[in-house]
Amino acid sequence: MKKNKAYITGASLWCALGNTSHEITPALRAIHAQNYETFLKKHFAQKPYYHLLESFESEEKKLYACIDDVVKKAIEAAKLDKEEQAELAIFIGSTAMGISLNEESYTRYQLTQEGKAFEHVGYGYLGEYLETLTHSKHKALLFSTACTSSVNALAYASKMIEQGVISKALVLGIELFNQTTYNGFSSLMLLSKSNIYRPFDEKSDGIILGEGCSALILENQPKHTDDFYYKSSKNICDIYSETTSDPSGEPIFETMDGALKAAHLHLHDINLIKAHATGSENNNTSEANALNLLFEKYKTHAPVTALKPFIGHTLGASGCNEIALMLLCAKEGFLPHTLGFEKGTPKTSFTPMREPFTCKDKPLSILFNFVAFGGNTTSLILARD
Amino acid sequence: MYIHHTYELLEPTQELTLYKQKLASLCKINLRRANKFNLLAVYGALSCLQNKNFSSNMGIYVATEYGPVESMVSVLEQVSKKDGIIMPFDFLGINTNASFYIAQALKAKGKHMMLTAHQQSFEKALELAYFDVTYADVEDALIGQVEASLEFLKPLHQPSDEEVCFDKSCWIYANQNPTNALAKIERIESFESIEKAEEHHHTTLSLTSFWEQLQSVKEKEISLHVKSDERGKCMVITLVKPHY
Repeated sequence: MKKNKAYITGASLWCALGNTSHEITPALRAIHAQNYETFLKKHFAQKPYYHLLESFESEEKKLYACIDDVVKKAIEAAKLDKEEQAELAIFIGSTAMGISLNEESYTRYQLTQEGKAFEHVGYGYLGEYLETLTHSKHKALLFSTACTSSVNALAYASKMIEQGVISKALVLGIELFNQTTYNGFSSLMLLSKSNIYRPFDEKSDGIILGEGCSALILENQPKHTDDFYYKSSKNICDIYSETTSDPSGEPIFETMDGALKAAHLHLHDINLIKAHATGSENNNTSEANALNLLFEKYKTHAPVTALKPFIGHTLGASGCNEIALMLLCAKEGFLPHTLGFEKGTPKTSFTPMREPFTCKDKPLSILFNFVAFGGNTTSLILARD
Repeated sequence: MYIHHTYELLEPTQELTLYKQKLASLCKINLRRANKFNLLAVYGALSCLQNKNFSSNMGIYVATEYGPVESMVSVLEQVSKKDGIIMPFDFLGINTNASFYIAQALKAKGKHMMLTAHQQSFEKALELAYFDVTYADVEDALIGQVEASLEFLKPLHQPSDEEVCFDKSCWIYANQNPTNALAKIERIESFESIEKAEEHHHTTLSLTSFWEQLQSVKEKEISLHVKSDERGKCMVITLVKPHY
């Protein structure tokens, strides 16, 4: 029996489109099928990567500037005073954590043999930093479940609020550029060669990575009339392979279906499915098959969208980042469309949403889907009344 | 939540090949190219559940303070070179896949995750598992703390931790069934400081080892495991002797 609802009362995001809602949502609205490739060409002038628009003196300054900024903005949006901030339980999700700091210090050490080779060993310091920043009385917990890290962090924060274990939470997703991840994905031959992000499209040829940082504030009471709240989630392990999902799509289908069952919802109650949609060959098959199975089971379709063509694949932070992006857009009265899709593969039974969905003042239920290395698969449903 | 099985490995630094051999005696999973951290994790988890029955809806919670540092150093070395090419298995080795290997070896389809909380990683992982078992999100929980020795690092680069030069893979298996349990986890509490914990428990508390407290519950009715971080934030886990 749930004691409370977990409301998202504050959201902020720093991504390739900007670092305020006033920058991000108009920038997103302005990109459409006709100018998408021009946008990518301009943004990818240096490298095919969705980078932040700002430059920083060092990786360390970048990391803390991003964290400070998104946390401050989320707390402001939730209108938390100092005493309320102290009540924030802290959940962090990331794949690379602070490896960019270690790349910087290791390279410096190799050159000079002076100082420390590693800025940090282990990543608990990120939690400590957030504890200090917010004056939280709670101990921060870091989740490492690859691309589902921050959505799993959000799911736990929500469930703990629902059960009255905590009253407020800060969930942080962070993924910043680092050579290790970029070269690692390259060595796994997962990156797009065309440099055009096209999830589910027949011409889709891989992932384009991105960086971003976001914060979500959760509370057991709403702060605004249009606050979204947590409905349910499901997290399972697909043991098919370390780096690929079961191509049948069954484990991903079971996860989405499990989230619907846990929320006591039918698919026709869902206004939008935000697919993981990495654009990798395996994801294009496995997630499309999972969606086909879902649509077959419920004998209805729900609109599907993909957000990575706007901000890139931000890996462990993608959960928090894409949810923050969706919520910022919903506040502005629309839900984002899918870019880069022209024609699906023969096995794709759906067409991703090609135009933004107008949703001003409407009740909404959105299913968010995320799939990770290590078979970690999570679906989460948020709603607003 | 009731603890049914435990396994403790705490050894001075050993070679990776030793754990490969030990693991080969337990299962046929192919971890030929896995790093020592992952081998330690899988070996410890499988040892905890060897010849035991368990549900496939099991949560696997791997707590670690440092993660696979040896692989991280190897990758930093590769990436700092001119071409920056990273070997795929080395890259996968720094991505926290130990819990996946355990899930695959045990054919467990519940959830699995790697968790870190500075100086309280195991206790916070236990708290999460306790939450999942209590609210029936999983039937069983397998919770472990895994650290591979950091002796290979120059002392200057090592974190200040008593057990930093030890290989560690310590596990408990728990669920809601009291029958034949070794101990019951009655409560898991967090406090801003040890003073607040003492005030709450009306007693003086001292820092303990979870594993020693688990042993001591055989002799006495109740045992408190206390862990605090350097800032004084404190967790208290109440273990009681089960009665069935």
